[in-house]
Amino acid sequence: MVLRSQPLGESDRIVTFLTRSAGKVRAVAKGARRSKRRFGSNLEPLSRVRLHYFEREGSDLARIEAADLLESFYRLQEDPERGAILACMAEVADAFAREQQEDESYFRLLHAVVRAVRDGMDLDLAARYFEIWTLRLHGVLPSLSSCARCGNELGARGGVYDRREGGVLCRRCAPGRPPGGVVLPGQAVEAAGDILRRAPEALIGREVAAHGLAPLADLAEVVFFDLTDRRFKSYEVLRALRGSG
Amino acid sequence: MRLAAPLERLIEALRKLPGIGAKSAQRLAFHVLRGSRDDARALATALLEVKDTLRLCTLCFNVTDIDPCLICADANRDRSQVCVVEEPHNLIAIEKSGFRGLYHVLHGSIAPLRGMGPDDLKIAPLLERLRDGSVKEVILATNPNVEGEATAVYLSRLLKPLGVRATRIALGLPVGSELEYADEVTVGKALEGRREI
Ligand SMILES: [Zn+2]
Ligand SMILES: [Zn+2]
Repeated sequence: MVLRSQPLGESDRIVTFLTRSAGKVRAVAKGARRSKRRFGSNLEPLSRVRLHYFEREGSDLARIEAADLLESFYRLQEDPERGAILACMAEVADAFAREQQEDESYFRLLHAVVRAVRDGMDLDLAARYFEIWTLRLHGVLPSLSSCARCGNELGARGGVYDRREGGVLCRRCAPGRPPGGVVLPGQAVEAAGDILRRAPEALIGREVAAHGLAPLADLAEVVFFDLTDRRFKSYEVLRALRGSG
Repeated sequence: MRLAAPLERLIEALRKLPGIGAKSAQRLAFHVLRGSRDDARALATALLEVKDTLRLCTLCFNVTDIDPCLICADANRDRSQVCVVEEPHNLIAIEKSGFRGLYHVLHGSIAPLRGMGPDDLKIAPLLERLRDGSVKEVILATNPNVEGEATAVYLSRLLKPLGVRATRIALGLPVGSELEYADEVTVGKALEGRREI
Protein backbone atom coordinates (compact mmCIF):
# COMPACT_ATOMS: atom_id res chain seq x y z
CA MET A 1 0.00 0.00 0.00
CA VAL A 2 1.16 3.48 -0.83
CA LEU A 3 1.98 5.53 2.27
CA ARG A 4 3.07 8.68 0.53
CA SER A 5 4.00 10.00 -2.86
CA GLN A 6 6.28 12.99 -3.24
CA PRO A 7 7.40 14.82 -6.36
CA LEU A 8 11.02 14.34 -7.37
CA GLY A 9 12.61 16.72 -9.86
CA GLU A 10 10.66 17.61 -12.98
CA SER A 11 8.78 14.46 -13.78
CA ASP A 12 9.38 11.71 -11.22
CA ARG A 13 7.92 10.67 -7.91
CA ILE A 14 9.34 9.06 -4.80
CA VAL A 15 6.76 6.66 -3.45
CA THR A 16 6.86 5.03 0.00
CA PHE A 17 5.08 1.70 0.29
CA LEU A 18 4.19 -0.55 3.18
CA THR A 19 4.51 -3.98 1.63
CA ARG A 20 3.29 -7.35 2.78
CA SER A 21 6.65 -9.09 2.59
CA ALA A 22 9.39 -6.46 2.58
CA GLY A 23 8.32 -3.89 5.14
CA LYS A 24 8.76 -0.33 3.99
CA VAL A 25 10.00 0.21 0.45
CA ARG A 26 10.93 3.55 -1.06
CA ALA A 27 11.08 3.66 -4.80
CA VAL A 28 11.27 6.09 -7.70
CA ALA A 29 8.51 6.16 -10.28
CA LYS A 30 10.17 7.50 -13.41
CA GLY A 31 8.00 9.81 -15.48
CA ALA A 32 5.06 9.46 -13.08
CA ARG A 33 4.26 13.16 -13.20
CA ARG A 34 4.73 13.78 -16.86
CA SER A 35 2.85 10.84 -18.27
CA LYS A 36 -0.31 10.37 -16.22
CA ARG A 37 -1.18 7.40 -18.39
CA ARG A 38 1.62 5.32 -16.97
CA PHE A 39 0.52 5.17 -13.33
CA GLY A 40 -2.82 7.02 -13.22
CA SER A 41 -4.18 6.99 -9.68
CA ASN A 42 -2.19 3.86 -8.80
CA LEU A 43 0.46 5.73 -6.83
CA GLU A 44 -1.93 7.94 -4.88
CA PRO A 45 -1.88 7.47 -1.09
CA LEU A 46 -3.26 4.15 0.23
CA SER A 47 -3.67 2.54 -3.18
CA ARG A 48 -3.02 -1.17 -2.84
CA VAL A 49 -0.96 -2.25 -5.82
CA ARG A 50 0.93 -5.23 -7.09
CA LEU A 51 4.38 -3.74 -7.13
CA HIS A 52 7.25 -4.70 -9.40
CA TYR A 53 10.47 -2.98 -8.55
CA PHE A 54 14.22 -3.23 -8.94
CA GLU A 55 16.58 -2.61 -6.13
CA ARG A 56 19.49 -0.50 -7.16
CA GLU A 57 23.06 -1.17 -6.20
CA GLY A 58 24.29 1.30 -3.61
CA SER A 59 20.96 3.07 -3.27
CA ASP A 60 18.15 2.69 -0.77
CA LEU A 61 15.79 3.89 -3.49
CA ALA A 62 14.36 1.13 -5.64
CA ARG A 63 12.96 1.76 -9.08
CA ILE A 64 9.32 1.02 -9.87
CA GLU A 65 8.82 -1.07 -12.96
CA ALA A 66 5.05 -1.48 -12.64
CA ALA A 67 2.35 -0.89 -10.07
CA ASP A 68 -0.94 -2.57 -10.95
CA LEU A 69 -3.88 -1.27 -8.98
CA LEU A 70 -5.55 -3.93 -6.82
CA GLU A 71 -7.68 -1.72 -4.60
CA SER A 72 -8.11 2.04 -4.55
CA PHE A 73 -9.00 4.19 -1.56
CA TYR A 74 -8.81 7.42 -3.55
CA ARG A 75 -12.48 8.34 -3.26
CA LEU A 76 -12.36 7.74 0.47
CA GLN A 77 -9.86 10.56 0.87
CA GLU A 78 -11.91 13.18 -0.97
CA ASP A 79 -13.62 14.06 2.27
CA PRO A 80 -11.06 16.38 3.94
CA GLU A 81 -11.54 15.10 7.47
CA ARG A 82 -11.52 11.44 6.50
CA GLY A 83 -8.55 12.11 4.25
CA ALA A 84 -6.67 13.69 7.15
CA ILE A 85 -7.43 10.75 9.48
CA LEU A 86 -6.13 8.35 6.85
CA ALA A 87 -3.08 10.56 6.34
CA CYS A 88 -2.42 10.32 10.09
CA MET A 89 -2.34 6.54 9.77
CA ALA A 90 -0.04 6.67 6.75
CA GLU A 91 2.33 9.03 8.55
CA VAL A 92 2.43 6.84 11.66
CA ALA A 93 2.99 3.74 9.52
CA ASP A 94 5.83 5.50 7.71
CA ALA A 95 7.46 6.22 11.06
CA PHE A 96 7.08 2.72 12.52
CA ALA A 97 7.67 0.44 9.53
CA ARG A 98 11.29 -0.55 8.93
CA GLU A 99 12.81 -0.57 5.50
CA GLN A 100 13.22 -3.98 3.93
CA GLN A 101 12.08 -5.70 7.10
CA GLU A 102 9.13 -8.03 6.79
CA ASP A 103 6.18 -6.79 8.81
CA GLU A 104 3.17 -8.57 7.40
CA SER A 105 0.98 -8.06 10.44
CA TYR A 106 1.49 -4.29 10.16
CA PHE A 107 0.51 -4.37 6.52
CA ARG A 108 -2.60 -6.36 7.43
CA LEU A 109 -3.46 -3.90 10.19
CA LEU A 110 -3.31 -0.87 7.89
CA HIS A 111 -5.28 -2.63 5.19
CA ALA A 112 -7.98 -3.84 7.58
CA VAL A 113 -8.42 -0.44 9.25
CA VAL A 114 -8.59 1.46 5.96
CA ARG A 115 -11.17 -1.03 4.68
CA ALA A 116 -13.18 -0.67 7.88
CA VAL A 117 -13.14 3.13 7.42
CA ARG A 118 -14.47 2.61 3.90
CA ASP A 119 -17.20 0.38 5.35
CA GLY A 120 -18.29 2.99 7.86
CA MET A 121 -16.15 2.57 10.96
CA ASP A 122 -16.21 5.65 13.17
CA LEU A 123 -13.20 7.81 12.19
CA ASP A 124 -11.90 8.44 15.70
CA LEU A 125 -12.32 4.84 16.73
CA ALA A 126 -10.41 3.80 13.59
CA ALA A 127 -7.59 6.23 14.37
CA ARG A 128 -7.30 4.95 17.95
CA TYR A 129 -7.46 1.38 16.71
CA PHE A 130 -4.54 2.00 14.36
CA GLU A 131 -2.48 3.80 17.00
CA ILE A 132 -2.95 1.23 19.75
CA TRP A 133 -2.23 -1.68 17.43
CA THR A 134 0.78 0.10 15.96
CA LEU A 135 2.24 0.22 19.48
CA ARG A 136 1.16 -3.34 20.24
CA LEU A 137 2.67 -4.81 17.06
CA HIS A 138 5.95 -3.05 17.71
CA GLY A 139 6.10 -4.25 21.31
CA VAL A 140 5.80 -0.83 22.92
CA LEU A 141 2.19 -0.72 24.10
CA PRO A 142 1.93 -0.26 27.87
CA SER A 143 -0.57 -2.57 29.54
CA LEU A 144 -3.99 -0.94 29.39
CA SER A 145 -5.70 -3.42 31.67
CA SER A 146 -3.54 -3.71 34.79
CA CYS A 147 -1.32 -1.44 36.87
CA ALA A 148 2.34 -1.40 35.87
CA ARG A 149 3.40 -1.19 39.51
CA CYS A 150 1.06 -3.32 41.63
CA GLY A 151 -0.55 -5.41 38.87
CA ASN A 152 -4.12 -4.75 39.97
CA GLU A 153 -6.87 -4.48 37.36
CA LEU A 154 -7.47 -0.87 36.26
CA GLY A 155 -11.19 -1.54 35.73
CA ALA A 156 -13.83 1.15 35.94
CA ARG A 157 -11.63 3.51 37.97
CA GLY A 158 -9.13 3.72 35.15
CA GLY A 159 -5.55 4.80 35.63
CA VAL A 160 -2.84 7.29 34.76
CA TYR A 161 -0.08 6.91 32.20
CA ASP A 162 3.23 7.82 33.79
CA ARG A 163 5.85 8.87 31.25
CA ARG A 164 8.86 8.18 33.44
CA GLU A 165 7.57 4.78 34.37
CA GLY A 166 6.46 4.10 30.76
CA GLY A 167 3.34 2.42 32.04
CA VAL A 168 -0.19 2.94 33.30
CA LEU A 169 -0.61 3.08 37.06
CA CYS A 170 -3.81 2.43 38.99
CA ARG A 171 -5.42 5.26 40.93
CA ARG A 172 -4.08 3.86 44.19
CA CYS A 173 -0.44 3.85 42.99
CA ALA A 174 -0.86 7.24 41.31
CA PRO A 175 -3.54 9.31 43.03
CA GLY A 176 -2.56 12.53 41.29
CA ARG A 177 -1.42 13.21 37.75
CA PRO A 178 2.33 12.92 37.13
CA PRO A 179 3.86 15.73 35.02
CA GLY A 180 3.08 15.16 31.33
CA GLY A 181 1.01 12.10 32.22
CA VAL A 182 -2.34 11.15 30.75
CA VAL A 183 -5.41 10.33 32.81
CA LEU A 184 -7.28 7.34 31.45
CA PRO A 185 -10.80 7.10 32.83
CA GLY A 186 -12.64 3.78 33.04
CA GLN A 187 -14.32 4.35 29.64
CA ALA A 188 -10.91 4.71 27.98
CA VAL A 189 -9.69 1.45 29.54
CA GLU A 190 -12.89 -0.20 28.31
CA ALA A 191 -12.52 1.21 24.78
CA ALA A 192 -8.90 0.02 24.66
CA GLY A 193 -10.07 -3.44 25.71
CA ASP A 194 -12.55 -3.50 22.82
CA ILE A 195 -9.86 -2.38 20.41
CA LEU A 196 -7.43 -5.05 21.57
CA ARG A 197 -9.98 -7.86 21.52
CA ARG A 198 -11.76 -7.25 18.22
CA ALA A 199 -11.01 -6.99 14.53
CA PRO A 200 -11.66 -3.54 13.06
CA GLU A 201 -14.55 -4.82 10.93
CA ALA A 202 -16.24 -6.04 14.11
CA LEU A 203 -16.27 -2.45 15.38
CA ILE A 204 -18.07 -0.97 12.38
CA GLY A 205 -21.21 0.72 13.60
CA ARG A 206 -19.90 0.85 17.16
CA GLU A 207 -20.15 4.27 18.74
CA VAL A 208 -17.65 5.01 21.46
CA ALA A 209 -18.15 8.15 23.50
CA ALA A 210 -15.57 10.88 22.94
CA HIS A 211 -14.53 10.81 26.60
CA GLY A 212 -13.48 7.20 26.10
CA LEU A 213 -11.46 7.85 22.93
CA ALA A 214 -9.93 11.28 23.53
CA PRO A 215 -7.68 10.09 26.41
CA LEU A 216 -6.42 7.26 24.19
CA ALA A 217 -5.52 9.85 21.54
CA ASP A 218 -3.57 11.80 24.16
CA LEU A 219 -1.86 8.60 25.27
CA ALA A 220 -0.81 7.71 21.72
CA GLU A 221 0.47 11.23 21.14
CA VAL A 222 2.63 11.12 24.27
CA VAL A 223 3.97 7.61 23.60
CA PHE A 224 4.64 8.39 19.91
CA PHE A 225 6.49 11.51 20.91
CA ASP A 226 8.61 9.69 23.49
CA LEU A 227 9.46 6.99 20.93
CA THR A 228 10.02 9.06 17.80
CA ASP A 229 10.82 12.48 19.23
CA ARG A 230 8.49 14.11 16.73
CA ARG A 231 4.95 15.23 16.31
CA PHE A 232 3.09 14.07 13.26
CA LYS A 233 2.08 16.83 10.85
CA SER A 234 -1.15 15.17 9.78
CA TYR A 235 -2.53 15.41 13.30
CA GLU A 236 -1.97 19.18 13.29
CA VAL A 237 -3.80 19.51 9.97
CA LEU A 238 -6.66 17.33 11.25
CA ARG A 239 -6.97 19.63 14.25
CA ALA A 240 -6.98 22.69 11.98
CA LEU A 241 -9.65 21.16 9.73
CA ARG A 242 -11.86 20.34 12.68
CA GLY A 243 -11.29 23.73 14.24
CA SER A 244 -12.49 25.57 11.13
CA GLY A 245 -14.94 22.87 10.16
CA MET B 1 40.41 18.43 -14.28
CA ARG B 2 39.78 21.62 -12.36
CA LEU B 3 38.13 24.44 -14.23
CA ALA B 4 38.68 28.11 -13.56
CA ALA B 5 36.93 29.11 -10.34
CA PRO B 6 34.30 31.44 -11.92
CA LEU B 7 33.32 28.71 -14.36
CA GLU B 8 33.01 26.19 -11.53
CA ARG B 9 30.79 28.61 -9.66
CA LEU B 10 28.49 29.03 -12.67
CA ILE B 11 28.23 25.26 -13.17
CA GLU B 12 27.46 24.78 -9.49
CA ALA B 13 24.72 27.43 -9.63
CA LEU B 14 23.17 25.93 -12.77
CA ARG B 15 23.16 22.46 -11.27
CA LYS B 16 20.78 23.60 -8.57
CA LEU B 17 18.08 24.16 -11.21
CA PRO B 18 15.50 21.38 -11.53
CA GLY B 19 16.21 18.88 -14.28
CA ILE B 20 19.82 20.06 -14.77
CA GLY B 21 22.48 17.44 -14.17
CA ALA B 22 26.24 17.88 -14.11
CA LYS B 23 26.60 17.46 -17.87
CA SER B 24 23.86 19.89 -18.84
CA ALA B 25 25.18 22.43 -16.36
CA GLN B 26 28.61 22.23 -17.94
CA ARG B 27 27.17 22.57 -21.43
CA LEU B 28 25.12 25.62 -20.42
CA ALA B 29 28.10 27.21 -18.68
CA PHE B 30 30.31 26.86 -21.75
CA HIS B 31 27.49 28.22 -23.88
CA VAL B 32 27.39 31.34 -21.73
CA LEU B 33 31.19 31.60 -21.91
CA ARG B 34 31.20 31.47 -25.72
CA GLY B 35 28.24 33.86 -26.05
CA SER B 36 28.39 37.65 -26.08
CA ARG B 37 28.73 39.79 -22.98
CA ASP B 38 25.34 41.39 -23.76
CA ASP B 39 23.60 38.03 -23.72
CA ALA B 40 25.20 37.18 -20.40
CA ARG B 41 24.21 40.53 -18.92
CA ALA B 42 20.61 40.13 -20.18
CA LEU B 43 20.41 36.71 -18.54
CA ALA B 44 21.84 37.97 -15.27
CA THR B 45 19.49 40.97 -15.24
CA ALA B 46 16.48 38.81 -16.04
CA LEU B 47 17.35 36.47 -13.17
CA LEU B 48 17.63 39.31 -10.69
CA GLU B 49 14.51 41.05 -11.94
CA VAL B 50 12.46 37.96 -11.28
CA LYS B 51 13.52 38.09 -7.66
CA ASP B 52 13.46 41.86 -7.21
CA THR B 53 10.33 42.96 -9.01
CA LEU B 54 7.95 40.02 -8.85
CA ARG B 55 5.43 39.74 -6.05
CA LEU B 56 1.96 38.37 -5.55
CA CYS B 57 -1.15 40.12 -6.86
CA THR B 58 -3.14 41.24 -3.82
CA LEU B 59 -6.40 40.09 -5.45
CA CYS B 60 -5.64 36.72 -7.07
CA PHE B 61 -2.17 35.90 -5.65
CA ASN B 62 -0.70 35.19 -9.05
CA VAL B 63 2.92 36.30 -9.49
CA THR B 64 3.07 39.74 -11.05
CA ASP B 65 5.24 42.83 -11.42
CA ILE B 66 2.28 45.22 -11.17
CA ASP B 67 -0.50 45.08 -8.65
CA PRO B 68 -3.28 44.22 -9.40
CA CYS B 69 -1.96 41.87 -12.06
CA LEU B 70 -2.70 42.21 -15.78
CA ILE B 71 -5.45 39.60 -15.60
CA CYS B 72 -7.23 41.17 -12.64
CA ALA B 73 -6.90 44.62 -14.23
CA ASP B 74 -8.21 43.51 -17.65
CA ALA B 75 -11.69 45.01 -18.08
CA ASN B 76 -12.51 42.60 -20.90
CA ARG B 77 -12.42 39.51 -18.73
CA ASP B 78 -15.51 37.85 -17.34
CA ARG B 79 -15.61 38.92 -13.69
CA SER B 80 -18.41 36.53 -12.77
CA GLN B 81 -16.15 33.48 -12.94
CA VAL B 82 -13.15 32.74 -10.74
CA CYS B 83 -11.02 29.70 -11.44
CA VAL B 84 -9.19 28.41 -8.35
CA VAL B 85 -5.81 26.74 -8.90
CA GLU B 86 -3.10 25.47 -6.56
CA GLU B 87 0.00 27.12 -8.07
CA PRO B 88 0.84 29.94 -10.49
CA HIS B 89 2.03 27.44 -13.12
CA ASN B 90 -1.38 25.75 -12.99
CA LEU B 91 -2.88 29.11 -13.94
CA ILE B 92 -0.74 29.20 -17.06
CA ALA B 93 -2.14 25.82 -18.12
CA ILE B 94 -5.74 27.03 -17.74
CA GLU B 95 -4.96 30.35 -19.43
CA LYS B 96 -3.59 28.52 -22.47
CA SER B 97 -6.92 26.74 -22.81
CA GLY B 98 -8.60 30.09 -23.57
CA PHE B 99 -10.39 30.62 -20.25
CA ARG B 100 -11.50 34.28 -19.98
CA GLY B 101 -12.58 34.60 -16.35
CA LEU B 102 -10.48 35.55 -13.33
CA TYR B 103 -8.25 33.37 -11.16
CA HIS B 104 -7.37 32.71 -7.58
CA VAL B 105 -4.10 31.00 -6.66
CA LEU B 106 -4.18 29.06 -3.36
CA HIS B 107 -0.42 28.44 -3.19
CA GLY B 108 -0.82 24.80 -2.24
CA SER B 109 -3.43 22.27 -1.28
CA ILE B 110 -4.63 20.72 1.96
CA ALA B 111 -1.86 18.16 2.39
CA PRO B 112 -1.83 16.60 5.88
CA LEU B 113 1.41 14.67 5.30
CA ARG B 114 3.20 17.90 4.46
CA GLY B 115 1.58 19.74 7.33
CA MET B 116 -0.40 22.02 4.99
CA GLY B 117 -3.79 22.90 6.44
CA PRO B 118 -6.48 25.32 5.26
CA ASP B 119 -4.89 28.20 7.15
CA ASP B 120 -1.69 27.82 5.12
CA LEU B 121 -3.57 28.53 1.88
CA LYS B 122 -4.98 31.76 0.41
CA ILE B 123 -8.52 30.74 1.31
CA ALA B 124 -9.57 33.65 3.51
CA PRO B 125 -8.81 36.24 0.78
CA LEU B 126 -10.82 34.14 -1.70
CA LEU B 127 -13.86 34.31 0.57
CA GLU B 128 -13.23 38.03 0.95
CA ARG B 129 -13.29 38.46 -2.84
CA LEU B 130 -16.67 36.76 -3.05
CA ARG B 131 -18.33 39.07 -0.54
CA ASP B 132 -19.59 41.73 -2.95
CA GLY B 133 -21.62 39.17 -4.92
CA SER B 134 -20.19 39.91 -8.37
CA VAL B 135 -18.67 36.44 -8.67
CA LYS B 136 -21.35 33.92 -9.64
CA GLU B 137 -19.28 30.81 -10.19
CA VAL B 138 -16.09 29.45 -8.65
CA ILE B 139 -14.43 26.78 -10.75
CA LEU B 140 -12.33 24.46 -8.61
CA ALA B 141 -9.34 23.46 -10.72
CA THR B 142 -7.14 21.98 -8.01
CA ASN B 143 -5.02 19.04 -9.10
CA PRO B 144 -6.55 15.60 -9.71
CA ASN B 145 -4.85 13.87 -6.75
CA VAL B 146 -6.14 13.10 -3.26
CA GLU B 147 -4.96 16.42 -1.86
CA GLY B 148 -6.45 18.45 -4.71
CA GLU B 149 -9.77 16.62 -4.41
CA ALA B 150 -9.97 17.12 -0.64
CA THR B 151 -9.15 20.80 -1.13
CA ALA B 152 -11.93 21.14 -3.72
CA VAL B 153 -14.44 19.45 -1.42
CA TYR B 154 -13.33 21.65 1.48
CA LEU B 155 -13.78 24.82 -0.61
CA SER B 156 -17.12 23.73 -2.02
CA ARG B 157 -18.43 23.38 1.53
CA LEU B 158 -17.28 26.90 2.37
CA LEU B 159 -18.82 28.32 -0.80
CA LYS B 160 -22.25 26.73 -0.50
CA PRO B 161 -23.54 28.95 2.31
CA LEU B 162 -22.30 32.03 0.40
CA GLY B 163 -24.69 31.28 -2.45
CA VAL B 164 -21.86 31.04 -4.99
CA ARG B 165 -22.03 28.25 -7.54
CA ALA B 166 -19.05 25.91 -7.07
CA THR B 167 -18.06 23.69 -9.97
CA ARG B 168 -15.26 21.15 -10.32
CA ILE B 169 -13.37 20.77 -13.58
CA ALA B 170 -14.21 17.47 -15.25
CA LEU B 171 -11.62 14.82 -14.54
CA GLY B 172 -11.10 11.79 -16.64
CA LEU B 173 -9.38 10.36 -19.60
CA PRO B 174 -6.43 12.18 -21.09
CA VAL B 175 -6.90 13.06 -24.75
CA GLY B 176 -4.95 10.65 -26.93
CA SER B 177 -5.10 7.78 -24.44
CA GLU B 178 -7.02 4.54 -24.64
CA LEU B 179 -9.79 3.45 -22.33
CA GLU B 180 -8.41 0.00 -21.55
CA TYR B 181 -5.22 1.45 -20.10
CA ALA B 182 -6.96 3.82 -17.71
CA ASP B 183 -7.24 2.87 -14.04
CA GLU B 184 -10.58 2.42 -12.29
CA VAL B 185 -10.48 5.74 -10.44
CA THR B 186 -9.85 7.68 -13.66
CA VAL B 187 -12.64 5.87 -15.51
CA GLY B 188 -14.98 6.38 -12.54
CA LYS B 189 -14.23 10.11 -12.56
CA ALA B 190 -14.76 10.26 -16.31
CA LEU B 191 -18.17 8.62 -16.00
CA GLU B 192 -19.12 10.98 -13.20
CA GLY B 193 -18.21 13.98 -15.33
CA ARG B 194 -20.13 12.79 -18.41
CA ARG B 195 -22.29 15.23 -20.34
CA GLU B 196 -25.01 15.28 -22.96
CA ILE B 197 -23.82 15.52 -26.57
ZN1 LIG C 1 -1.18 0.00 41.18
ZN1 LIG D 1 -4.42 39.26 -9.99
